[in-house]
Amino acid sequence: MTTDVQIMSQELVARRRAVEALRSGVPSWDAVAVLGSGQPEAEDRFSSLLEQVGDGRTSGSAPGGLLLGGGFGGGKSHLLTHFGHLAISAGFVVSTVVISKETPLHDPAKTFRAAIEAAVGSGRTHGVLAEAAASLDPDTPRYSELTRWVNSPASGLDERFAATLLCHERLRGGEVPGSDETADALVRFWGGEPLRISELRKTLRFVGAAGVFSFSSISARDLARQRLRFAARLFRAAGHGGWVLLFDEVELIGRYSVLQRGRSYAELARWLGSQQADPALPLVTVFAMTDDFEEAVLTGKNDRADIPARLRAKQTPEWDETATLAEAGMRHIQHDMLQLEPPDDVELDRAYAALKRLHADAFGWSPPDVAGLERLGATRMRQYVRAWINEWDLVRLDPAFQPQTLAVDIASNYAEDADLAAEGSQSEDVF
Amino acid sequence: MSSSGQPVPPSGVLGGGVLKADDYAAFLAREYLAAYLPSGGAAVKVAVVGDDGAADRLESAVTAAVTERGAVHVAVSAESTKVHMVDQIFYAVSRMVDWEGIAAAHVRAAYEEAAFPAPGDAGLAVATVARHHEVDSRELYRSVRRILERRLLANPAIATEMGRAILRLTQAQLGAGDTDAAELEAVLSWLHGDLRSVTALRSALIYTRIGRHNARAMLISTAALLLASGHRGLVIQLNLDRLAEARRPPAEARSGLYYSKAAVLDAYEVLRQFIDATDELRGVLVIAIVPPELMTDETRGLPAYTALQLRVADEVRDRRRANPFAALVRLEVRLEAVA
Repeated sequence: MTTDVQIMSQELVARRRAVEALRSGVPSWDAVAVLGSGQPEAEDRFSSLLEQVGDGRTSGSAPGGLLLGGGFGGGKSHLLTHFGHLAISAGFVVSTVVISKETPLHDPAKTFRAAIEAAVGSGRTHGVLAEAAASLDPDTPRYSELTRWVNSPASGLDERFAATLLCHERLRGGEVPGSDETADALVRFWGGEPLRISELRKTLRFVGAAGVFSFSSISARDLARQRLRFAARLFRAAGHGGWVLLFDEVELIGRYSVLQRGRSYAELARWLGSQQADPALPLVTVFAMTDDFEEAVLTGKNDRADIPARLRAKQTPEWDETATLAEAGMRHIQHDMLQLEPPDDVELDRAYAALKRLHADAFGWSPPDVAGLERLGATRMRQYVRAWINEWDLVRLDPAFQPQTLAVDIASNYAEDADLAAEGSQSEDVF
Repeated sequence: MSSSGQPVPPSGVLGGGVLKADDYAAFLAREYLAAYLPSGGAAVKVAVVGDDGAADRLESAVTAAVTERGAVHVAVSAESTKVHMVDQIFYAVSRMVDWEGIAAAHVRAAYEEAAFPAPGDAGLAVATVARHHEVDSRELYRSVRRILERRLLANPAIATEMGRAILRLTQAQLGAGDTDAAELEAVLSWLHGDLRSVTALRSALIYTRIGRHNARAMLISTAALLLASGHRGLVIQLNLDRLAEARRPPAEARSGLYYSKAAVLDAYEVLRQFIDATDELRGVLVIAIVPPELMTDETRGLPAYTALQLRVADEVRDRRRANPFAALVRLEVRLEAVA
């Protein structure tokens, strides 16, 4: 084994990590720290939401969220990462969920699980739910507020939540043998894992609360939505400002089947309208999708007319409700999308200078000026950034080389794909 | 200039033309394995490799470079490992990790921190170390245990259950009677994916198996543990050739696993998640090797999964020269051969 391994300072690693992320065009905390957001209006709107939710000053009529629109490579993911920075600095728990095959927007159980697993607190540490549960203090007003809300019929919560919170309160501390495991199981239930009613009843008997609660069946979807509201309030009770959920690549819903799209629009409406249903909910949601979605999908696939009709044709109250919500979701996309501002020359010059310094610091050299891509209206921010980084990489490897960069556009694809909307593949999908 | 500011010797990665597998491996060794990975950096690369010979040369060269620099190399093939399931990738990595060695390294470090270094080859049992330093073994055990708990349970880079598992392994090394052979075996089985019943680990406060829901966190933890125990990083080479095979051959010609289209997309999703987790990964280099046909196949190739394609496709490139730093590189493949 060679011994000539060098160890870099953490600052240098962070610089290199930022460059590495920018080469892939993926969001990176280190890159955002260098570049900032370049989107003052969106940032102001988001900061205002954080303030309102943090202070409990939400208006029942205003959406508790934002819907951002921009082209591919326009900086949406970068902006979401920046919002994550702001939210964590303001004491919120933050989750970033990329809509994908594994995390379809129309499935609240899967999106909730993804959000909980991705949740980070200050220091960007994971395990926030367990940590928050461990730090609950029954002697604080915040905890009293949590128990008051959980036990209030107006909360609309299934009694499982009041029951598990009570059990957790009485079992914490681990003085009773086996109580650690039970408390752990309760927290995992809050995080999306199943909990047998028989086990819960047994625990309630153990803590002296037999017969206090009654349990009826609940759908996985409704349970997921309630878990979301419970978790947000639990985070607040544990001392956080609330919970910020950042959803990226939402345009993927354009490739789902008609019914999945309808459900997805309905979920979008639920997420963005959560404050109306529960004004004190300490939850902020931000969605990022491509800005051509309305044209390509709502209009191009005639979703505005077709989807409500298809959903109502099923003639059940549940589908009627979904149809109404789907209409609301589509209206959000049409009317409430905040478009990202394309970069002007001032913003491009600023980004160029910041990236030049970053590359210099990361690799310990003096990058020369490079041409990059021609400044055209259609060029995306990500393309400019990748072009500069690419040219500096090549010149650093060969100072005599004169780069000539070309850009290839990758078009949006909204073609329906049944495999994208299908349940995750199992072992049987591999032979 | 190299990462240390020294002039870079001429190599095959420069000068245009086809990028060679050996040269790319040497490049990775210089720019990633020498300092960036051991310092906690991470990267995910997709290498489009022209043929099996080039893939073999890449794997050999990377293995040699990794071994030379004291990192851990794991080769995962889609032929033998279900690469569309991140927990299976974790288990493939886990089976190559010397977990007891990691535990031993943490125990040694804890003794050092407690100012009672373990003597040479005399073993790590607390009774032995205490006797060597002529101190009370129960007191020494308490000090060392506190240090290990802090390093393993209060470390944000290590998932809670992984921390508990390694703590159990360290307790086995300390030999103070906190754990027995059955529990040690259960922990190792849990890490390898062989544990029949997770109830065997209740005493270790581990209540769930490693599955798709937590495998990524376990991988991140594994990499952090490797760095902390003196290894110079983790290099995972994912050979995804098999994803290109749309049809299973006749039974007599089959070998290994074959993937439906749904499973191929899931495999791309796993890779996409690795790329997005670059911020969290510490000391990890993932090299995904794909055949050229997956660059253009609209049914099973990268174009079928936009989320991954957007992250790696060279939408921006130089007209004449490939950038070896790029997220996607072509090795011994002419650009004209792919769309």
